[in-house]
Amino acid sequence: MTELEDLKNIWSKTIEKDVGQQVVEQEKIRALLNKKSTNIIDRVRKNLFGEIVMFCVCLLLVACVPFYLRTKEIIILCVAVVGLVFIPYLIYYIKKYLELKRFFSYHQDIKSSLELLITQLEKYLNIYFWGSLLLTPISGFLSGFAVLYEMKALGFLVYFDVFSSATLSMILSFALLLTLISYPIMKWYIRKLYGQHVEKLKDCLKELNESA
Amino acid sequence: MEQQFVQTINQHQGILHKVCGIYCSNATEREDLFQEMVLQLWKAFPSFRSEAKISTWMYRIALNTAISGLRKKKIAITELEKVSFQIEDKQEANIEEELQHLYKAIEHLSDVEKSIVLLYLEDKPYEEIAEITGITANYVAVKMSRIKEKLKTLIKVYQ
Repeated sequence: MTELEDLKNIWSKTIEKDVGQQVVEQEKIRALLNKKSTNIIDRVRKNLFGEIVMFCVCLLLVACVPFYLRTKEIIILCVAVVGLVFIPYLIYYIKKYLELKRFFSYHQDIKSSLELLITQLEKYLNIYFWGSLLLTPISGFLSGFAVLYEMKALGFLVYFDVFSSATLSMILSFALLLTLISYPIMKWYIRKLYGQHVEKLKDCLKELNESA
Repeated sequence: MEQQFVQTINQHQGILHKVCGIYCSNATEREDLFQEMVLQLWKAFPSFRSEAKISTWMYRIALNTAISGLRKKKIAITELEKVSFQIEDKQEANIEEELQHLYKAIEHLSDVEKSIVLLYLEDKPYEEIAEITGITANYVAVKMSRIKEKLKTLIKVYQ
């Protein structure tokens, strides 16, 4: 049975030869600098950028509605949604995006780096989860309202009052039901996206934190 | 600065290959990890202070990248295709075989244990291992004795 000290000697004797066969030329190293990173923080940042783009598209769509449906109620609703939901959200997301762009924890020791990384990832996953969950009833309500309004405008639902409290309650119930359904789906999706990786990182940190 | 960085990596690229060898089980994974480590080192290079030991700095970033990276789950039967060199004689063949056994055993360790064992095999003092991992030198010693036991059992299985 080879003792580990012997293996250390074997390692020192053979590893240099092993490594020597894998030498990467300077030009190839230079070329690697232009490649894209697959680092978890960079991936999260790219996802966040995608969300910012999606938000901008939604914002533009909602902002365009009053140009087509020029009723006082619609204008108030759109201004409220844009001003109270979309713009604060967008500012917050951009702030987070810039924060992630600056984030770099690897120059610290493994334990401190893992602590920082886990905190940052959990923060992002929370923002992502609650952000998406909060948007579901808003988008559900708006789309339900838009469908009914359009149907009435096209001559269907003649005796139907889109602005009555009964109709608005019905649309609101639909939006809440949609949120209820999307809750477990969102939980599953986020866990599938990054949750398992965060758990793996937490296990590593736990191992480093174990007391001697 | 780019030229200085490329020269530094070129000079010390052995560190990166060793980390890749410990954490990856096939050539594609090794290439991806090597690329990622170079990119992270490049990102960190402006903040590198020359008074710090270059190997400690490189190990720290390389191991952080390897541990926190999103690697695909290992297939049950891993294709252990470590770079093998021409075996010139029987003694060398035995040494090569022993190294392969060591690699196979290391594959079963956790990511944290892999980093400690690599630094140990590289003959780093416990103080430096502690500096890189962020745990105390005493705990490194405790951890290392546990890893040694684990490796002994694993190597027995492969022999």
